[in-house]
Amino acid sequence: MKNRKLFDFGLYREGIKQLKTPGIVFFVIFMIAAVAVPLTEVIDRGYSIEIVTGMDMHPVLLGLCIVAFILTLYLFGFLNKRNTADFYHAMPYTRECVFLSFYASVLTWLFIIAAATSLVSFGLHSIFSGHFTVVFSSWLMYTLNCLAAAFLAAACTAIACAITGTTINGIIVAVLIMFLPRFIIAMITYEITLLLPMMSYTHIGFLLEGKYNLLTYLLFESLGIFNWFNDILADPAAFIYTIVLSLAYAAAACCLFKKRKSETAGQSSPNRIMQAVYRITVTMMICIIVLCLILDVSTFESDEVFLIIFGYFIAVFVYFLYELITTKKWKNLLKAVPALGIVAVLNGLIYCGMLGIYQAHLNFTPTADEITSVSLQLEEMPRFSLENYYKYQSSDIKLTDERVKQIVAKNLKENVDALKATRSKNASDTYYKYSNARNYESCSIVDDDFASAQYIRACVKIRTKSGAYYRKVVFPSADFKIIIDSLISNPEFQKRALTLPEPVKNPITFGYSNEKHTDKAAYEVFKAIQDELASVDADVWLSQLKSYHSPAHISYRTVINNNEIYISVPILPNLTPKSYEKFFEYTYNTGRSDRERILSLLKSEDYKKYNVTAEIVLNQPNGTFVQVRIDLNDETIPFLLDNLVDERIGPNDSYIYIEIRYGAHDIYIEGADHFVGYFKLSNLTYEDIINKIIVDNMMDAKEY
Amino acid sequence: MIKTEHLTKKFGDLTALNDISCTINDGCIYGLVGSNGAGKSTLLRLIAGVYKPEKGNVTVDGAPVYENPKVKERITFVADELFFLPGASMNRMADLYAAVYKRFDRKRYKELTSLFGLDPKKPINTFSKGMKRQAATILALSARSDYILFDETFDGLDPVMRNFVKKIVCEDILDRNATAVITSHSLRELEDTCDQLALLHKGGLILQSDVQNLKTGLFKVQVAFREEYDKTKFEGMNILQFIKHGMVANMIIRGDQEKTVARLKAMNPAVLDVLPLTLEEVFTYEMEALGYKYSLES
Repeated sequence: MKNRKLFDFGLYREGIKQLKTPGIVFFVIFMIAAVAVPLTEVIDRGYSIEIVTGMDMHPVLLGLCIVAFILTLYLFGFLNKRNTADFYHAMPYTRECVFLSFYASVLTWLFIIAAATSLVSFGLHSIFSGHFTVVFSSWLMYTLNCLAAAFLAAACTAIACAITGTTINGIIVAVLIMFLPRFIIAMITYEITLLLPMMSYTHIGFLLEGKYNLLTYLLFESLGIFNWFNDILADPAAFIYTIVLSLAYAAAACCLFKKRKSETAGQSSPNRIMQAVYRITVTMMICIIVLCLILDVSTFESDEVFLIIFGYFIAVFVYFLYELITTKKWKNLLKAVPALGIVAVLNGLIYCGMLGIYQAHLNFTPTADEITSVSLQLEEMPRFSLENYYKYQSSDIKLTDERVKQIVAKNLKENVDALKATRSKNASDTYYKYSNARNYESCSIVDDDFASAQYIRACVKIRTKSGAYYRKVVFPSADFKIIIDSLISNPEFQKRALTLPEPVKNPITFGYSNEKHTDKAAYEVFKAIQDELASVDADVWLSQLKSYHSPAHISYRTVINNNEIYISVPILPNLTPKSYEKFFEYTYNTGRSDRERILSLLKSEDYKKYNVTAEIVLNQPNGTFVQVRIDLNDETIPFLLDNLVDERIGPNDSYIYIEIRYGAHDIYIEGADHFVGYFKLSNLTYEDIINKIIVDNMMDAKEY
Repeated sequence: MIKTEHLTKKFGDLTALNDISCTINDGCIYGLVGSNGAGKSTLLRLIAGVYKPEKGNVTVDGAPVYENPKVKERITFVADELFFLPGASMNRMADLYAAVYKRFDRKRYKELTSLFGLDPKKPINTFSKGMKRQAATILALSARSDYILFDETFDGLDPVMRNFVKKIVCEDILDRNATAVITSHSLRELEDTCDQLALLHKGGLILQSDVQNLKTGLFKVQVAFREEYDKTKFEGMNILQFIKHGMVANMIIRGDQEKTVARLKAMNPAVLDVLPLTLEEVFTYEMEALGYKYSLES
């Protein structure tokens, strides 16, 4: 653009030049990290294949936010000195043009650093494909999200530079702009969810959930407030939210830059009003904490009055201290006194808002008629087992049965009533009778193991005509079973339960082996299970999943919505016989050397140097199977050696799974001897086992 | 032509410039003199488009300066506190100027650099204060702008270099028919350079005049008569100051020198001497006549 009103390439190039030194320094640091991470992993891991997400590949890229902060402060630092501010403002450009051209220079450096180092990281991980399986979408989203967070940091810093006149004030205000709004929201929502245990902190409404603002998320995560690091950094919603916010902030920075007076350089703030705004903002950070304590006291019989008074004392101290530090004039303290009234008014308004939100959520007790549907929710992303995969898949299944709605409405009302009673005077500790409730996450949906618990606490998404609300409701286990039954009988859930997601490339693990099989045959076994499952009766499949820890199973990793999920699928001879045959054909063909080594160890005394585990799966005459864990010793080994044969296991055969590894129990030593084998058992009955073998733990026996 | 109309600039409660109206014609060297805090730098920053006036306006050939890149392209501002990029050499700064000012003349830049004997590859932060001012002047002149604003640029130079720089600036301005505005708190710095002079005092423009008019319009006369006399003897003359010691009177008179001398000679004085006035004295007497107490060196 030649008119120099909005953007000028010459000035843009000048900005790039001025950022050359810090830009190159950060580029080199990030590049070293991008190269070092895969190389170190290759050296450390040896030849095991690992699925790597964007964050695993290039964790240092998270630091791009700090780079954005520093580069923006560096380039826009001219605003803080009179001579430099005059120089740039005297140049033949509009203020918008100076801002946009320089801001583009910062973004360009961030893009260069992120793109170049991420591509190198991606390339190296791809070169070492024998060690890593790269999830492209995860890598791409992670890189984009880090860039979005950095862009937001740059925009916040640019706003701060535009409304302050000294570096120290610029840093303070930048940090406030970046984190204060989210800090206030997080404090309020945290306090309310603390007071209302039926509320879910992770589902409190899109804009209130800190996880979408990637910049604040990074800080909160590093402070241990959140725990979804990989998940969020690969979330497109977080990217969209953060990039839109960064654009809005950049537009605000441009407007403020245009309005900024050159004479602000060297002053703590452009005028007394802005100085008061900063002072009040800093003070409100303390006040928010005190307001949470007040809400605590007013809604719960808490004895924190002293803390409240002390908190306000600190707030007032900080109020004046900020004025003194930034203006360095004692006489300004007196001038700052009247604005304390604004602090008081703000405290009153925020408190009323908090109380209103608290009351609104406390009184949310819809009737069954008002509920349109209910969905069960997992609080966190599942990582292991088919069971958790199913729970994850159930989160958007809408349960519309009247009984389910009634159960949810009734129990939510009881929960809320109990909570209200607990908080009123002379109330018994009724709500906390639920304190021993078991969490939904820790109980199975295909087994009745929650029946042993008196109460189950589960997060449910309650849809009403006025919107969807998430509530952690404590259900009596009998009620919860009705909800689970409704879920299991839901046609959409059944369809999903019989559909296995594709593995992300290979590896597929067979049984308890720690070997990862990457060949075509392993994938054929997976395809056989996938195909057979599609035609299995869902009710039968779900009811038999209780034996999912059968030695015959495959495990693999997949990626759903950019989240890595580990799935373990049992192979049941009665439901998936072809897969069962293929599984044992595969293990027979690939495990020959392991079996030879196991037999040789068992025949000698050498096996005593190893940690040995064994599990027998007995085919009973009635077609069912019995699974027994046994202890291998001098008495049982001779008997077993007499009865096992190294042959391919068929659908009707009983078999023993033996695992021998060097080292103590439960301690895995990298590279140490580890042998796994499946052996056919000839003509051995359940009674033989009972009579001839010492059963390690009969309670482990499961029949299927 | 630079024109300011009712220009007012405030910094918080302080009014740095109050209702300034002046005209700076093309092709002249315009001197702005005033004590510290008079508002010289503020006026220059307003002309350069750095500051936005609270009231009034600054125009160049009728177009406003503030936020107007087309007009600002024609102006180069050399501030009192110079700015150079951290660690930059003159060549690096020349690159910056070349990116900013389309008319930047590399040939002229090389000529001037060589003329001043500055090393263009050496970091400017290793230069002395005077060398930095020379560097800033070279860069500003190489930008080939129509209007160059120097804010106390020559004040830090030694007398020899000061004269040299002034000479270069004057030649450049004359060659290109450009306009320069130079501020100084010392009138002596501007006396032999400027065509026009303006005096700023406490944010107000006290005096604005052509240098030649100033010098010839005011003169000092030493006169003595044999008879007793007082100021009334000279009625009709515009006497700014009248001091009498014994029979000898010293007068500062504004008006046509030849006519005034002829009139005095006609009075048959015992002594009549016309003494030359320095520009500083002219300013002092003009200021006193306006009711200001002005110290030229303050």
